[in-house]
Amino acid sequence: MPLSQDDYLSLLHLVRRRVAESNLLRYEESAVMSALEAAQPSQQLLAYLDRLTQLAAAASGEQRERIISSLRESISTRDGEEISAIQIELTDAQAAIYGTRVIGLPDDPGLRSLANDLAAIRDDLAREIEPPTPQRNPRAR
Amino acid sequence: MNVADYQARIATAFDNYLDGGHQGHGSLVSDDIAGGKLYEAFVLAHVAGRLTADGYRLVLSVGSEVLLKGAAGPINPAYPYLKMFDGAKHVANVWTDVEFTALSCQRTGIKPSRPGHFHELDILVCDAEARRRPTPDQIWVGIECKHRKYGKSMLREILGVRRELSLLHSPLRSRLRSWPAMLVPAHPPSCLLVYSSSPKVTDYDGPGQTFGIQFHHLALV
Repeated sequence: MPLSQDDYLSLLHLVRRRVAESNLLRYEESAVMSALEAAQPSQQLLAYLDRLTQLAAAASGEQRERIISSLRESISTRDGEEISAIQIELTDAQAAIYGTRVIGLPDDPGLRSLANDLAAIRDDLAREIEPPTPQRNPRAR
Repeated sequence: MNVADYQARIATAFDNYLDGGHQGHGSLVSDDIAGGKLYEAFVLAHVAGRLTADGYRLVLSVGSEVLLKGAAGPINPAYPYLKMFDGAKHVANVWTDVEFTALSCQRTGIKPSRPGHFHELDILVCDAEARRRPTPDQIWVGIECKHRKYGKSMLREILGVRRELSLLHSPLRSRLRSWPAMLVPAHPPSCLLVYSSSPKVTDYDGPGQTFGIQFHHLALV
């Protein structure tokens, strides 16, 4: 039995509640903003999971590694070494708070695992919402 | 799969996360900074790929680490930047998070000192000789990166940047071989691009066709 729009809404509420309980509220506003771009609860859920997954993966470091790899393809260094990292130089005010001047982007395997799990759920939901077009039977008349 | 199955999978995903003791990623850097800077690096990699595909060669000025700044400022050649070569000739540099001198300030002939005298762009390709805050005639390409929902205020912002980079003009030859544009309706003929992870960005490309601003949706993948 296909999921109803009420079902999708209840799943969206569940994910949002779990995000809050998991101390991941820093992603909530951006994910909700993405969801608000869609009209139907099913599309809102997909947009929310998309954004949440994206932010979690970004924080996990997975995307950072891909970007470094991409930078290596186009940029060389003076001594022939490969591009090794992306760093952020903080402002004076940020440096005073963080106690350091230059920091790397974050990495967290647990967050990466969560992002992967949510992406898998999102992909399955997308298949429920937009099932693949059936192949036409060439013998059918 | 029914709704209960999905509820269970969602619960398990978050339970596993919490069971692993991951009460947040514990990074010093806030997610606003991290997400925005990651997207800036992503766009930089894309831009570097396009420039090298056009035959330019890019070399990191020092070390092996790409450095993005927490806030924009004048050019500081002591920090890593990309040197852009056309054959053996060093023709331009690619900077991140630098300020340029506003056209209005340049035309008055005063040194940029007040906040309205200069503006920032996330990525700037400009003459190799450019120092401090490059003037509009030294700028080849300016790029703004938005890793958030794109809205009308951002359109107004980039239209202001276009205004302070150049005047509307019949198409002039850009400084680049082909990418991002050979002709630009602007004088000086700088290219101006907006990249956003929001698909909404392309809803705003109408004014860009008149004033020479490209709007690109580039999802962070």
